[in-house]
Amino acid sequence: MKNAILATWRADFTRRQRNSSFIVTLLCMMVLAMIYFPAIDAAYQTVSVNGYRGIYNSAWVGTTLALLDVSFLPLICFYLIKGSIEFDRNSHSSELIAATSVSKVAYILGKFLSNFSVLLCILGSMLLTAICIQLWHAEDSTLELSHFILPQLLFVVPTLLLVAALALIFDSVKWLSGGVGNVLYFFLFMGSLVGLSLSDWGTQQILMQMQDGLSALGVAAEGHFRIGFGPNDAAVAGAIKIFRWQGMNYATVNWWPSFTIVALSLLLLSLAMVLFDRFKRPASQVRKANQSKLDSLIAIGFAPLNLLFDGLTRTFAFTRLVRLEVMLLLKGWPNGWYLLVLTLVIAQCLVEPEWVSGAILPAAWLLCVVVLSPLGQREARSFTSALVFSTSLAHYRQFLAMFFAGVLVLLFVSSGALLRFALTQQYFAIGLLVSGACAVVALAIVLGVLTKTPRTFEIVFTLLWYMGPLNKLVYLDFIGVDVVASEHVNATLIFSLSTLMLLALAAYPRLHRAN
Amino acid sequence: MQLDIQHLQQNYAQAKPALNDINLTLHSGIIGLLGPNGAGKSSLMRILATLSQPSAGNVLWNGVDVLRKPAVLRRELGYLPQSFGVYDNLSAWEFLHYLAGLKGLTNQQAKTKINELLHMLNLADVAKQPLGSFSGGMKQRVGIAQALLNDPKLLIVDEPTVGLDPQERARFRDLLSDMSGDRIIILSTHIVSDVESIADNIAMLREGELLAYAKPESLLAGLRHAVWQCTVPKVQVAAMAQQFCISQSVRQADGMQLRIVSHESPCAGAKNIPPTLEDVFLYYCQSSQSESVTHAQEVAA
Repeated sequence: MKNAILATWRADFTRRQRNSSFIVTLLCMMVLAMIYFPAIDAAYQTVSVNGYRGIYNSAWVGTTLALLDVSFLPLICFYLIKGSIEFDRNSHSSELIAATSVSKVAYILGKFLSNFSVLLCILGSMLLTAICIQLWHAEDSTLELSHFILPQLLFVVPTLLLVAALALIFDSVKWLSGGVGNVLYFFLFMGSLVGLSLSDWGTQQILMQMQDGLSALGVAAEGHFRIGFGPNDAAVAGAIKIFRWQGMNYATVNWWPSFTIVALSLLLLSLAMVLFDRFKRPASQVRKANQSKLDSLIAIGFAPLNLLFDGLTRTFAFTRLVRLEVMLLLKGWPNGWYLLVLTLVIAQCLVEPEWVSGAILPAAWLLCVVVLSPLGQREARSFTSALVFSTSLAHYRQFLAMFFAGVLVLLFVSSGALLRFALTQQYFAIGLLVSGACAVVALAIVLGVLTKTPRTFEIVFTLLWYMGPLNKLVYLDFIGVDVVASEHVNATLIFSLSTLMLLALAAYPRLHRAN
Repeated sequence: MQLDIQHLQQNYAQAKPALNDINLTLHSGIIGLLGPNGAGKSSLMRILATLSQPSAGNVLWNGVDVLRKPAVLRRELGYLPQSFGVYDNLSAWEFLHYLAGLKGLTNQQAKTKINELLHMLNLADVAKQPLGSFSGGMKQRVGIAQALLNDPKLLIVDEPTVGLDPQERARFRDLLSDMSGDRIIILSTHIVSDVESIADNIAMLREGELLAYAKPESLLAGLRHAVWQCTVPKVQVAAMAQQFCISQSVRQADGMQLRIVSHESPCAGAKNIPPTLEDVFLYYCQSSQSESVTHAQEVAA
């Protein structure tokens, strides 16, 4: 069994580290670590306690790095390591693996070690960067490695173990392995951040100790903390205020939560071993040829719409292509998805107006994330590139047809609200919704083209959706939750221009290929 | 109708080019592209299908440079790659309808052609089923159908009979044979029996070099006195294999009956027999580059 675990770990880890994206990832994380420690007179600052930040000694840099890691790595790293089992499945090596004597325990343990090794590489690269940063800024050049390593061991390593195990759970459960899982994890992460802020472990524990250090110097403890990026408020007066912090007092630190997280990771790992189907599910999910009663009912329900759409589009080659692209986007989802979309469309016509923009429309658009995420790289992922790109219309018209199909899907799931806006003559809201749909679809295409994976759009869209429609950040409010604010900044124009720029960016490689 | 391939060169990262100065002029009919794995067949086909650009050289379709104006060829092209995917959630009919749309067929043309092809390729009964439930052979037939949707003037099929049962293979060969009158069909394979009965011309590729381009009968004539049959004890087979190109070996009561391609008699009692295309293929695959070139020059002469 030991050999099987090691073989699985070695093969998976070697495959990942030989991928060019591995180096890019490490570089990006190093850059993130670099920009997290701005100079004293920089235009932005990151961690501050009551308007103070520590002198860049080993204690402050090492512990602040742990703050960054424990806050952001669970989000970034989960998406980086998720998919190792799906990779074996999709590369069809799963059948070779399943035919060997390797047990579920050995295979999952090997994958877990590989996941964790990747995360340790990322952590190591950031740690090295942080050490260099301390020497570079030279506010205090005395290196104390224990200040770098202990916070990582106490807070970050348990978190990474948890992420490595969670990724395997998401990989092992069919419905969590795709886009739904990606969106769900985002909310799990946001929930965990809230949980962290309420607990006395992790970020809170570090910040409280930093505040204690500040109080010891006689500065009033006001409980104002910042761990993200923000403007250097004190820059006007010259620079942010600094103090010398001596580091965590580990004698007063409660280590039990860290052990609990490690134990939870092992529990989740065991759960992943139970849930993993040992590749009984084939690479492409084969649907039953025979239709269920619900299938037939849904087909009957959509039939008039289908006929109408067919009749409207059949005359012109382009409109027909748009219809075929819509079909490609909408075919094959679970029945629950169609029912939920229909329910939300009907609800848009019936519920209170504030609920339409505030809840129903955002929910309907979030449902579309998995429908839109294959745009821009569907051909590559389905291995149909050779068939599609050897045809005469693939390069220009299909690109536009794909774009319009995506927009139509978003407008269809918003059709109840659109009807309502039209009846109440809210023309700006209609324009905003249309321009927002265009921008979102263009974003899906460009991210698909550039990153060649649906995962990027699923994460970016969920993030934008969280900041824009959910938190009413006006420049990202592509649904128009706050129409007045959007009208004030002329969001329609912003989204339209963004659409044009994104489309141009996405079209370039395809047009280059066409010639 | 004419496809001119001029000084085509394809270099990848490795030192040896995938295609080295290929020159061919193709007219209507079936051209069998034969060569061992790694000969450069798929690289050549991808360039002809406008999917990749060569490092050097030209491809002219009826005088038009398709490397500069690929759209001219794409309108008249049918292409079946060696490996391809399908959209599992679509039915065969929907998938073909989608590709018909991309190929610019009108709604009515698409419907007529798809129904015709589904019947021709024995897929009519499963046309409404999702492609995800199809076997490998059925998907391959869908691939063949999509290549024929626009009634192509240039049909490029790369290993088209992979996964097909013998009956379907024969049916596909007949289909190509019937279609070959007014179009160029390039059929790449290393299954010699797929081309020997239907190919009008055969191009032999090895390690990126075009070794021969001739009619099958000319290639066979070149080996007329070079195929031998003899029976040897089993212990001698390994030594014979080191020395000669063995195209077939059959176990017999008194030893092994070998079919050997050699310009000289391989052993005492060896009987000269008529060559097959399989012998020609193995001869080109196994003999040295200089021998192959000499033979090709003889064939050309």
